[in-house]
Amino acid sequence: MKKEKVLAVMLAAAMTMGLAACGSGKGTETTTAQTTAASTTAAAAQEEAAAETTAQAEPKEPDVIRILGVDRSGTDTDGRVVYLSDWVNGDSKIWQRLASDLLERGIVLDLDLIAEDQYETVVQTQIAAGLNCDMINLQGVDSKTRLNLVKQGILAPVNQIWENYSQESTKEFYTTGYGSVMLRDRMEDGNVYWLSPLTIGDFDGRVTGSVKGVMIRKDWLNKLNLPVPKTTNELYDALLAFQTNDVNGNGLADEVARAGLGSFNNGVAQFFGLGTDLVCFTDYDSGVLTSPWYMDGVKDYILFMKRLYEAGLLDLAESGNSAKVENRLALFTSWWSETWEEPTVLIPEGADPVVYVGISCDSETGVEPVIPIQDGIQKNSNYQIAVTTQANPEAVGRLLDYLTSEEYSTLTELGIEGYTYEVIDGEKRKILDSDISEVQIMSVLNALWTNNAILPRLEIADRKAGLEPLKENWPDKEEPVRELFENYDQYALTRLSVSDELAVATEDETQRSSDIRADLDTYYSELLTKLIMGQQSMDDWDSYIEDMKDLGLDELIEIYQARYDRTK
Amino acid sequence: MKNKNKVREGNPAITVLLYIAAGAMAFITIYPMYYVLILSLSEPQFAATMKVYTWPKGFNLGAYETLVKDAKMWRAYANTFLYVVCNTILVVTTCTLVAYGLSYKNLIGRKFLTMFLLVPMYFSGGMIPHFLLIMKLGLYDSPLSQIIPAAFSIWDIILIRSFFRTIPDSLVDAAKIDGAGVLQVLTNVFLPLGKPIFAVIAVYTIVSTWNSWFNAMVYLPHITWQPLQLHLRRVLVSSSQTISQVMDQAAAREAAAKELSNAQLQYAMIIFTSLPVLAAYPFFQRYFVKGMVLGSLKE
Repeated sequence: MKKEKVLAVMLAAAMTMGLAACGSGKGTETTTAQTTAASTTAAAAQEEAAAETTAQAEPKEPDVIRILGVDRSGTDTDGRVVYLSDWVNGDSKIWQRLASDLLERGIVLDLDLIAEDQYETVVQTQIAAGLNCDMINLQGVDSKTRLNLVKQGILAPVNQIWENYSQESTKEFYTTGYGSVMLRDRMEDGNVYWLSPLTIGDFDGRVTGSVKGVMIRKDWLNKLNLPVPKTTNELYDALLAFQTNDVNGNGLADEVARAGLGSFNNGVAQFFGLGTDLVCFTDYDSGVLTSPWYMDGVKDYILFMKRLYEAGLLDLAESGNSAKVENRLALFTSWWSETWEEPTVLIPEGADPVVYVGISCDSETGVEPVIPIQDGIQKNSNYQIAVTTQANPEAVGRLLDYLTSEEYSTLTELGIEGYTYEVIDGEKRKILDSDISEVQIMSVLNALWTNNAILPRLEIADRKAGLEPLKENWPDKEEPVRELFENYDQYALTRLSVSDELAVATEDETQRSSDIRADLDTYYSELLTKLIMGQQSMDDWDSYIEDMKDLGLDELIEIYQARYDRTK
Repeated sequence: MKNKNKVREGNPAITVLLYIAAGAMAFITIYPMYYVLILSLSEPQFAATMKVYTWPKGFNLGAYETLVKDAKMWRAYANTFLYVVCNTILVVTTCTLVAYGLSYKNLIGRKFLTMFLLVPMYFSGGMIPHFLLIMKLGLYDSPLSQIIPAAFSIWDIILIRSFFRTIPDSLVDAAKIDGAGVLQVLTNVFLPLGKPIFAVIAVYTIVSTWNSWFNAMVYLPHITWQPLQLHLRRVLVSSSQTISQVMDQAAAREAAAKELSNAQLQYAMIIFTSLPVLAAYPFFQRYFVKGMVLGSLKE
């Protein structure tokens, strides 16, 4: 009996101790084991490329740069989703070319690719556990954490790398060339800690950004013999005519416009001269910041939106694309040169093809309308790539030489000549018809290693050449874009994104902005919506402005202004 | 004798009402699944509108074709099966062993050991200590991170122990008189009699493992060992982006391309991931009922 008791005690104790160990957090100290099986290495592809260029074989072992980034995907014309890891592990010629180009510079990439939906979680946990990479995509890493990474000496100053380890042309690119916009991200210590994607648009020798604004169904205007609206009153009449004439022919008065009620970034606000964000520039060039709430056209804008709302002309769904897919969407905001929205509209057989075209309307209130446009030299803020102090700066310096080259830009944007693009009359044109998956992807996208993946993008866009395919296939769409680009100086423009134009925020600025916006964003968005829907009165306007001032609107403008001034 | 409970016992009007209520409940339960099914079979354009209510609009098996050809999906399927099998075996084994020890009436410190188990059941360490533990044990990015932490369940131990307590002492005494030792009592008395509770635990473990994705999200950064539910989540999340919110032309173009192809795919994926559990449910059902009433009756 005693023996049985002892045995039972031991059995139960062994199991409970096991459980306790699982819950106690006292594990044996082990190194952070990153399983290499799952890690996508580019080494194999690069060795293959090396074999092809044995004559130029490097005498020295190449340096390995380990990058933690997003496994970006693209959809080919068969609807198959292809990931960057598929390119890296498969027989992608475009990836092999990149690998070969890098190997010539003595660099091999070792990629740790994480699915996009999971990246934010992974990067945050890996930062908490200690980073083990040379370069990292900072998507999902907030400003505070970035500052902490800099303070802890985990991120390396990229400017010191290009100063000390890159070629002269690279230094010039980042200090006096197009890449100097990266200097906006200088921290308080004067150093730059990450690289952003860069788009340089050119139209006849002038730097020109892409336009994003209101687009209207041109095929519906044609059907009703209506002109393209030039004023907001004409726009109202056209939208009303779409409904009253049941232009989509489904028997319902359900043709609507999508213009978000709770934001100024809806294209319609810009007809009244307003900026796109809560803090915006007074005009494109002055560099003076204000808020749409302080601008002349704000009341007229709200009254116009209220008119649209009361007439039932607005799509009130805040998200989703059902109105567009169901052939009900008369107006929305997008890139004026887009061609990807139309195929997603479900139209009855025999109906005219769908065409959305860009418009700008005069508000007839004396306020000049503005057109939202990217900066000609656009430093995008959608992702950044940082270098860690673990990295070999010499190798990263060589990588920067490549990332700033025309060779890299061409490979990233167009691919390989004769494979993904061809040169016709001196102009580079993407090959649109192909059975090869990666050629299909490159026909509509850029290479999968940029755009929030592993490397910063360098897009040198010839805007004029880009309009040629549009002219051939979508002349209605091309016309307003060409008109704008050719008569650039005659239009009033506004910057599409204010945050892209600002210097990186200091610790105090980050904290204060975040505190202010937590309440102010909710307040102004609700206020705007309620004013348009008639739930709050315009008579109390002054008290609303006072409320926003109390919530820190003026302080926020000051912070943004200070950040902008530091870029000069 | 006059029946005072006419309404309760077989009143036709009440019976009809009960049938209607049961039918409504069944409709509420079944229709969402049917809705997903018909969306998955409709043409992608109609699936994108989500306005398909009774029958599929058009008929398109393209999404299923894409899924069948998706090697990543099959890999995720295989991973889930691995986790389900391993977790079920381990949970039943470990919980039975601990529960057997704790059900021994003369066990020294039994109350203390039970409390020792109950405290972490109610108050867990939280996510960050758990993450650090997984890192230090070297389980990060390893399939074992989905198996080892899930190999014990204190709740299941309590359930099994409660069941073992219902086994009469006389049976144990009889086995001992026949010369059975501690292990023989376990294998010859408790295990054969415990089959119903093992089935209940197995069913609970299978269902919870099949549906689990969060731990994989945190501990498995690479897709190689990720389970099916995380793959499903990926398909659903990637289709929820609104194109007008994208600030980059290439990203907007890609989002538009995905919008249509994903509209049908996400519904097909839901059907695909639910099928095994749906098919197995009728067989498991009686064990669920048993699990719910376990311990509710006292002798």
